[in-house]
Amino acid sequence: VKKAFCIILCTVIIFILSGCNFSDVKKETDEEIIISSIGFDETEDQVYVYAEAIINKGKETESSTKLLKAKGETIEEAIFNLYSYALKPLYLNHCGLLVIGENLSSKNLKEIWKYLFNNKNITQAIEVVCTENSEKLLSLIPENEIAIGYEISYALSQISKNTGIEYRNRFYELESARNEQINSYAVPFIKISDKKPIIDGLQIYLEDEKALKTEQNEAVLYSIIRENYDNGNVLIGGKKYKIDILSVNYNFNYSDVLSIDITVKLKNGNIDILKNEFKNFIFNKKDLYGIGERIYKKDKKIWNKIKNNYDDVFEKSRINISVKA
Amino acid sequence: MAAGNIDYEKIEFSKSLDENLQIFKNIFKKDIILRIKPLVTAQGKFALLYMDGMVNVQMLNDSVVRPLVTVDTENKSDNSADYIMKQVLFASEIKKTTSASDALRSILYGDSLLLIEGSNELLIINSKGWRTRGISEPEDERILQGPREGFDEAALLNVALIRRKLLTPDFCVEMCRMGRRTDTIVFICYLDSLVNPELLKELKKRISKINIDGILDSNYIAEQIRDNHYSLFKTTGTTERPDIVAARLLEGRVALIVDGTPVVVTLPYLFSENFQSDEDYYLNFTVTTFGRILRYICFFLAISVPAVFVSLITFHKQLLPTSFLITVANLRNGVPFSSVIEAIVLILIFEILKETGVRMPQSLGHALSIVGGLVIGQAAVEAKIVSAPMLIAVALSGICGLMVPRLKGVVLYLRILLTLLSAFLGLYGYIIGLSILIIRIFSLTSFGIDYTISLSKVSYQNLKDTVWRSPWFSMKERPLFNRNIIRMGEIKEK
Repeated sequence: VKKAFCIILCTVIIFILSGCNFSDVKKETDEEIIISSIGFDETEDQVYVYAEAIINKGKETESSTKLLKAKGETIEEAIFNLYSYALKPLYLNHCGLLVIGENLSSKNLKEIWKYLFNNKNITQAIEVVCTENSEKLLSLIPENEIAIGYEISYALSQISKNTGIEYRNRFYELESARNEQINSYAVPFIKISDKKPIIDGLQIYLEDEKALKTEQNEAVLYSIIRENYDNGNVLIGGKKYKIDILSVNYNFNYSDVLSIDITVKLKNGNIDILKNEFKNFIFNKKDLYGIGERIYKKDKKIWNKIKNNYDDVFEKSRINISVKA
Repeated sequence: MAAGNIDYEKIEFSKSLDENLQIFKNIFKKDIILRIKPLVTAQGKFALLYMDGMVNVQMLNDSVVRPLVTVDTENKSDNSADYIMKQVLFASEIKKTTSASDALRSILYGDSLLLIEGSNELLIINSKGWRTRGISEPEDERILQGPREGFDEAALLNVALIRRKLLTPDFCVEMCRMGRRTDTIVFICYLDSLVNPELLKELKKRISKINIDGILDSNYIAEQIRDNHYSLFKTTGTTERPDIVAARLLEGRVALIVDGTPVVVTLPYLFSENFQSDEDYYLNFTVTTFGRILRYICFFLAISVPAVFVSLITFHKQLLPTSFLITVANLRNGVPFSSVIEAIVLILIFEILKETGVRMPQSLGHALSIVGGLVIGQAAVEAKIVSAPMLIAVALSGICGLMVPRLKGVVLYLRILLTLLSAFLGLYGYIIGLSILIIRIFSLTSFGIDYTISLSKVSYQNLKDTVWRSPWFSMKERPLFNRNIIRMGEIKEK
């Protein structure tokens, strides 16, 4: 009897202490709406939030999608309205894409990160992209996948593989980079042409604010400088080139002015084309390339000298890039 | 021997044939099966008593009646039991007794009694001749290759079947009687040089404590002598095959043969034996090793699949691939029950179909599988009473459960318990359930021997017949509970 009592008592304690049994964690599949992508945008004074929901068709085994839409004066209010409109809880853990509208880019993105990350609404990998109009992008009809969010998400990984430019930039990677005080990050910019999404360069953010939008050519150079480039075929000036990079070396020197020498060694590919492109490459006066992080990792002595007024030092710095075979 | 208020030990026979006959008539006054054949010969007056249907009548006529009537002996006036037994009768086994209890036991077990005028001693003549089912292959333990013999309901025949395989005087058979009313014969068999004496002593001690009306099957005893009476896992083994009993005796185990059942109990019984198949040792070790590993995996799947599936689709959807989650959500759309109810109902339906299939005539089996499996299954899915993924999950676990028939009851209970735990606590509950299960398995004992001795005391030799089946030439040691663990050759000291 004692043994049985102990077992029952332990079971009850486990049930009570776990807090799982009656919590919101338990949901049947039909009690939630699976969201494949979520988008944020802004027009005039209103913030819009869009969610591409997967709708089950009942008897058929096929599914379709529906774009849920809500607005508010702040992001939080818009999200609250979206939940009210949806009636059922939104399930974001299988969300494949986060779309940031270009208009919203002028605002600080911290609020979005805060909602998605701090509320633990997303615990899986999710690709982040920027676009001219979030609603328009999420309204496109997918060709292969069930939802446009998944299609763009898979396309990003495929294009990254083919071009060598790291277009994939997952939400969690961005978040961890932000936590490690890496202030700049780049997300692919997607424009809509003939009702199809096309990747058009990178949108670069500095301290969660839009800092620069690169063209396709610059995206290659930008990726190489950030060491975010894998070997692949890239389009430069409308022509396709294969660039296989052996290494990217940094050399720092600091007396009065910070001197940064970047040497790109190619294994294969057209050196002249790349040299030519780098000649025209304009370095921004702000460190959008994460060079500060490289100085910190590779030359701590210099970093200690410049860390207190790094932004000023970088503004006056001299950057030299050479391409070698 | 006693029945109700009558103590047969107190009955004393007299020298009068009629009085002795009257005693038996009184005892069996409501039993019309008793046959009494009076014989008046030159030797004197006799009465032959036997139970109809239990004796070999031909043998009785030839070796008892005919000699009494026709044999011409020198001393015709000597009608003492001793003289009749040694000089007149031809029967191979005769013994004399004055005990009514012995006489009754014998006549009820198919022997005949010869009552002699002028003697208070009775002759017990071995004339057992009841019909037996014969040696046929057990239905539940069919094998592809190996001996086809199976036990019968007659215990003596079963002992003979084992003895034929163990031609050694080391093979010991002890007898005891159990059951106040059935007085069932139970044989305890073992190999004297291998069995652990402590184990044997413990077994006899536990058997002596059994006080039950009747023993109709070996399970009546097995349930009472187990270490853990309420455990889901049985800690005594059963088999209907003499080759398996012989193999277990050769590993130092003890066998209990109960009269009236072909099921022989062997002990101690280890956890790993649940995963051993009878033909593991008759087929090539490469083939059987794969099968044995598969049985371990299937046991795990049989108890886990519905539980894990329920917890994944209710608590941890993020662990599922997106496309799979969408498919599941789609197919579950419109199902009125929660996934746990769906799982439990399907598990019960599967068990009902299985039980029905076992109990019904073979000719109806195909119809049942078509109606139960195909028609009801498909119709239920189409009618949106259950969802197809859950049906697949439960069916998979059900089929996996059939791979380990020795654990069929355990699997059902564990499957339901883990599913309920998972439904309340998700994978957290499943892991708790699994942990408790593992702790429980490792804490069990079978006659004082660790239930998982071969897994807990890990050594290469131990594992050779546990997780996989090594070739015979490398299995040089017996299981650890033996008095003598060397099975073959010399073991090199490590």
